[in-house]
Amino acid sequence: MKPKFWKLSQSPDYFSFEELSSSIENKLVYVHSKTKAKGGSSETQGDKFIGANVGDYFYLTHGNTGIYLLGQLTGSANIFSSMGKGWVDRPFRVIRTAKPNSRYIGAKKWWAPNENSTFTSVKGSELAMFEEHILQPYFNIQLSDYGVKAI
Amino acid sequence: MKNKNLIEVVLDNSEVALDQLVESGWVKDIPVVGSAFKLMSASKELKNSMFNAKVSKFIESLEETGVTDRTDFISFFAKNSEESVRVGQSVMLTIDNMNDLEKCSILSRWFAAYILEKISQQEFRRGCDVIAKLFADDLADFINDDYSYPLLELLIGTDLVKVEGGLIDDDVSSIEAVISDFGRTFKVVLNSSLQGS
Repeated sequence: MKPKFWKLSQSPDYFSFEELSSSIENKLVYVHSKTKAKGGSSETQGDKFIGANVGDYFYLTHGNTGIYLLGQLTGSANIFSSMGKGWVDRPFRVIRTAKPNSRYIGAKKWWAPNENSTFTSVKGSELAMFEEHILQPYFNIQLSDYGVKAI
Repeated sequence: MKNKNLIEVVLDNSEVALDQLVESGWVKDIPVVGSAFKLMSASKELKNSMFNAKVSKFIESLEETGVTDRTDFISFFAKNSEESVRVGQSVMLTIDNMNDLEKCSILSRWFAAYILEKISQQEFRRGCDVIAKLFADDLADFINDDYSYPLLELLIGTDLVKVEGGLIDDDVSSIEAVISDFGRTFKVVLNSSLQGS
C-alpha cells in the first residue's frame, strides 16, 4: 500500500496559534471550500479537501511559520462548520506531533510549507523527496521502516 | 485472558456479593445506584447479567476504598439531594458504558474522591466521561505514570491533555501534548487513592 500525503495549511491570516491548538484538540482541520486551484488544476483546493479519501495523511502547517503535526483523515467533510459560511472541517487522528522546527527552507514544491498553497497532494513520484524534506526531519519517519517504498 | 477470568470470578461471586451488600445497607443510600442495585438483587435475570457484574465490581471496589465506612458518605447524600441524584445517574450511565471491569474499580476510586470532596461535581462527571471512553490500559498507564510521550499524543482530544506550543522567538515553532489541569487532578487523585488502598 502506498499512502497518500497532503500538505494542509491553516494560515495565520485565519487562525491564531490558539485557534490552531484548539482545532488540534478538537481533532478537526479546516479549509475554506472556495480556496482556489493551484496552477492550471481543474479542481480547487477546497474541492480536493472535501474529496480527499478517509485514511489519507496530511501534515499540518501554520503558513510557513511552522510544521505541527502529521495526521490522518478519519471522516468526511462537514459543511456546517463552526468556522462559518464556506468553511469545511474534517476529523482526523494524530499520528505524530512534529519536532520543534525552524522555518522551512527546503525545496520549493506545491506541497512544501514555503509555497503559497492550502491543500495539495504529494505526487507518488515525489514521495522520496517528501520523505527527505518533511517526514524524516520533522517527524522522524522513514517510510521503509513501515514497509513503504518511497521510489 | 486476565479479563475473562475476572469476569468469570465476578459473575460467579456477584450473587453472593449482591446479597451481602444489600444487607449491609449503605448501597441503598446512593441515589439511582441504590435503586438499580435493589432491582438487580430481586431479579434472577439481572443477577446473571454483565451489567450486574459491572455494578457489583463497582460497589465492591467502593467498599474497598473505605469511604463507605465514613460518616461523610451518608451525610453527603443526605444533604445534597439534587446533586447526588445527578451524580448517581452519572455513575450508572458510566457503568453501563463500561467495556472493561478494571474501569469499575477506577470509577469507584474517582467516586470516593468526590464523596470526600477532593473534586467538584463537574470534575467528577468529566472524569466519568474520560473513564467511559478511554481504553482501559491507556487509562491505567496514565494514572500510574507508566507511559511515554506517544500516549499523551494519543490522548489529544480528551480532557486529560491539552496542546501547547507556538512560535518561539519568531524562529522556532513547536507543539506538544501536555497534561491539562484536569488531567493532573485526575492522575493525582486516582494515584493517591491507589497508594492509600
